Amino acid sequence: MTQIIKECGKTIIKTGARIDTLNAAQFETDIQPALEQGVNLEIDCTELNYMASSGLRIFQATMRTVVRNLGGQMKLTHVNDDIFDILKMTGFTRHIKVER
Amino acid sequence: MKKILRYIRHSLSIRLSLWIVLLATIIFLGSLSYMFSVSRKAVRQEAIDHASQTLENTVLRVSNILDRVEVATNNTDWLTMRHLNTPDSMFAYSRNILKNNPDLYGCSIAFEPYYFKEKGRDFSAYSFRQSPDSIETEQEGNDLYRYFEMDWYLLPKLLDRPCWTEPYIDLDIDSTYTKEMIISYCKPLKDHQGRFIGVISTDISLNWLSQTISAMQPYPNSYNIMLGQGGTFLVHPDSTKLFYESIFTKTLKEPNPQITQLGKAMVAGEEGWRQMRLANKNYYVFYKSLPNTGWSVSILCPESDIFGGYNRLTKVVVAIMFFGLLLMFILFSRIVNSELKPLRQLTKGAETIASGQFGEELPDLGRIDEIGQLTHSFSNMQHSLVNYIDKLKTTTVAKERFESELRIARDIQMSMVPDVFPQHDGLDMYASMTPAKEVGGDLYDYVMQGDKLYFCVGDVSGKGVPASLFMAQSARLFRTLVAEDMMPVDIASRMNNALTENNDRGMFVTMFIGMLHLETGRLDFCNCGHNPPVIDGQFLELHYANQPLGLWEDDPFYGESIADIRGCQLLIYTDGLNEAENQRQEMLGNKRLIELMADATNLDSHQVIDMLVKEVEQHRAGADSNDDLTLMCLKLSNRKRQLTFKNEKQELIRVAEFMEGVCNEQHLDMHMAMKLQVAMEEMVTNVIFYAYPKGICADITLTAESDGKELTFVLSDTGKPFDPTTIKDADIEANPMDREQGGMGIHIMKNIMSEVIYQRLGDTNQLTMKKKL
Repeated sequence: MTQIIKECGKTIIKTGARIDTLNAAQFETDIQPALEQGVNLEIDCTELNYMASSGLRIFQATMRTVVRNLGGQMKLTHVNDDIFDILKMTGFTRHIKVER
Repeated sequence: MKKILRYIRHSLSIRLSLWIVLLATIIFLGSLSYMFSVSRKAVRQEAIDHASQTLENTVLRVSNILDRVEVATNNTDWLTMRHLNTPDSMFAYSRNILKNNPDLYGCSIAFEPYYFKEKGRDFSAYSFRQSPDSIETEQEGNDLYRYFEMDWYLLPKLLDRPCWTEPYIDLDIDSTYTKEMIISYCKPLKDHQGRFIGVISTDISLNWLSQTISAMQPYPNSYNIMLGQGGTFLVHPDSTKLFYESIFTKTLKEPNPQITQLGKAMVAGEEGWRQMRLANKNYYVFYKSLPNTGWSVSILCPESDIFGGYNRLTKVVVAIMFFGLLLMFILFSRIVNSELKPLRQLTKGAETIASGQFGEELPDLGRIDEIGQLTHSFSNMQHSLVNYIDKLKTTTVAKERFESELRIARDIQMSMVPDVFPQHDGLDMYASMTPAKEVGGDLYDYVMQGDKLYFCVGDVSGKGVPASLFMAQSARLFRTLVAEDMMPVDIASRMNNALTENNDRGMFVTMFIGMLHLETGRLDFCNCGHNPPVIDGQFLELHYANQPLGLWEDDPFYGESIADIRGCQLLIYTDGLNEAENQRQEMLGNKRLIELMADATNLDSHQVIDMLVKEVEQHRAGADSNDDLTLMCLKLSNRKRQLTFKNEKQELIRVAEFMEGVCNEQHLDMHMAMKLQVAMEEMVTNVIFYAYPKGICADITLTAESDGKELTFVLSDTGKPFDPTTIKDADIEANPMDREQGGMGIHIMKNIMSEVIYQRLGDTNQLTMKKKL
């Protein structure tokens, strides 16, 4: 279940366990409120243990919106090894801050 | 010609007849030739005798004529001497001679000139026969015919003795008389003082003499000749030659030594006969001289006359012989033909029998000769044949019954071994048994007991019916003991004890007993003296060599096990395989077996067994099979899972569950499982969203299979052709914000999987994804 938490000038999105083809659209809708001008966005992947390319596409779109359009910042935190592997093999780790 | 020869070869009667006629011809010709040559000699001798006799007669006759002339002359002689004083009486005397001797032609009584002073110079009383009935008498001397200068007058005067003149022409002053060739007997007349006073001459006509002699012919075409001194013709069938020609005349123009020699011999007064060729005809010439004259008579007989009858006889005899032999040939061939008729009937009967109609009665010929005996022998043979065939039928029926029983036994035995194999997921099993004889001593069997597969392959000592009975017992025991859910080693032990009981004949069975756990791939087995099985192209290493079953009771058996034989090809066989012999007693051999199995790892069990059976047949190359052949091949593959789903988004849940099941089964850790889940979701999502046009509902299948080393997924759909392997990789170097969307799913899948293969099979996209474990 996606949660948006705003604290100390940061907006934190807590993901659910899975971002897959079936729930990707829902996830995308859920995070829209967090995308504000100049937002300092942190996507907390503590719960996330499964993500397909559909999830990556949302990250891709979110990055474009936040960094490029809203002049904000974005990072992924508490990413487990498996998700990190996925991010790494798709070249995300080089362009976005990913914290384990 | 060839046809005739063939006909002769095919016809006994013609051949026999030809031989007999040929022999008869030779005998006839021999005897006839001899007879003819002897009779020819006889005929010739007869001809010589006959001709000689005729010649003798002719000579005698001529001599008689000449004698008569001489006698007549001598008789007149003394009358003349008595009446010298009456010169005119001389006319009467000369006339009287002719009157008394009708053969004589003329007679002159001539005196020396001026002997009778009153008569002047010439006085010759001459009588001659003008015609047979009239005699003319005259004084013939005159100035034109100076008789005292003639041969007939001078010859006796000079010789002073009587003599015959050579032929001469009676030179007639009066031309009204025909000229007549004559010969004369002349005798000198002497007075009492012995003075020569004249000549008495008696003439005979040469023509008459010739006719007289020619009348004497021994053969129709024979003729006579008579030669005077010097070879002049005195007698010849051609009267123109008389006096004018001699026997030598013709040889002056055309030399002919034969004629010359004959002439010389005749002139020399010789007697004899010779063969000559005259005017293109063969002649036998007989000749003989006349005494006192120097003349020679000859008879010429043509050979054709002498041998005429003989030659005619020869022709007739030859003709009779020819027709006789021809008749003989025809009759003989007919007789032989009719004698052989029964033989032909017999042949016909024999052919009928030969065609299989043994009941055919041979014709009763009623003969006791060789043909009758042959018929009898043939009839005996026929009866023997019928008896033999009856016996054969009986034997055959018995044999067939026995064979049919054996066939049934074979069917029973074959029904004791299963020909249907377990249809368990992942288990590929096949077996075959080929007894060397109708029934054999090999066995194989399997029993599914829960998730365990019990199986065995055995080989009873010996072959044939005894072995098959022991085999049946073993097979039954196996089934019974398997039902008690025991380990193979216990089954072996129990079977051994059961088989040892009452096993007086000491039979035994070598056996491989296995128990396969289908879920885990664990194999427990007990090998009881059996050939080591082949596993993945190599002999299975056995740690215990147990005794065969049925020999020693209570001896311990040891079982072994293999933890997992999944993915392994296991071949269990009897020695009919590696010890199969060809005609040179060469075995197929273990080496060849291993070679064959090493090449067979990709074949399924059925194919492996077919290949081995074929190989054994090829190796035997027509040699009889020397042992029963039993083969069992099994392979437990890793389990294959399959999921069929629709091209709907919600089906992704089922796919995820499927993947979870696969990963759990493979005991994969959660990291690997998560990645495989992701990879599969990427591919399945692609298909669900993009393979089919909207509104089309289709089935998609996904299978998963592991061989313990590799996990293989196959995703199949019937959508539009799409090969993910050729899709350009996403540009992972670029910032995701700058990238185009898409391509990442395929990239992730390729990264996670070890190998990806795409195939378009018909209307199906088949994507094979392998992951090394």
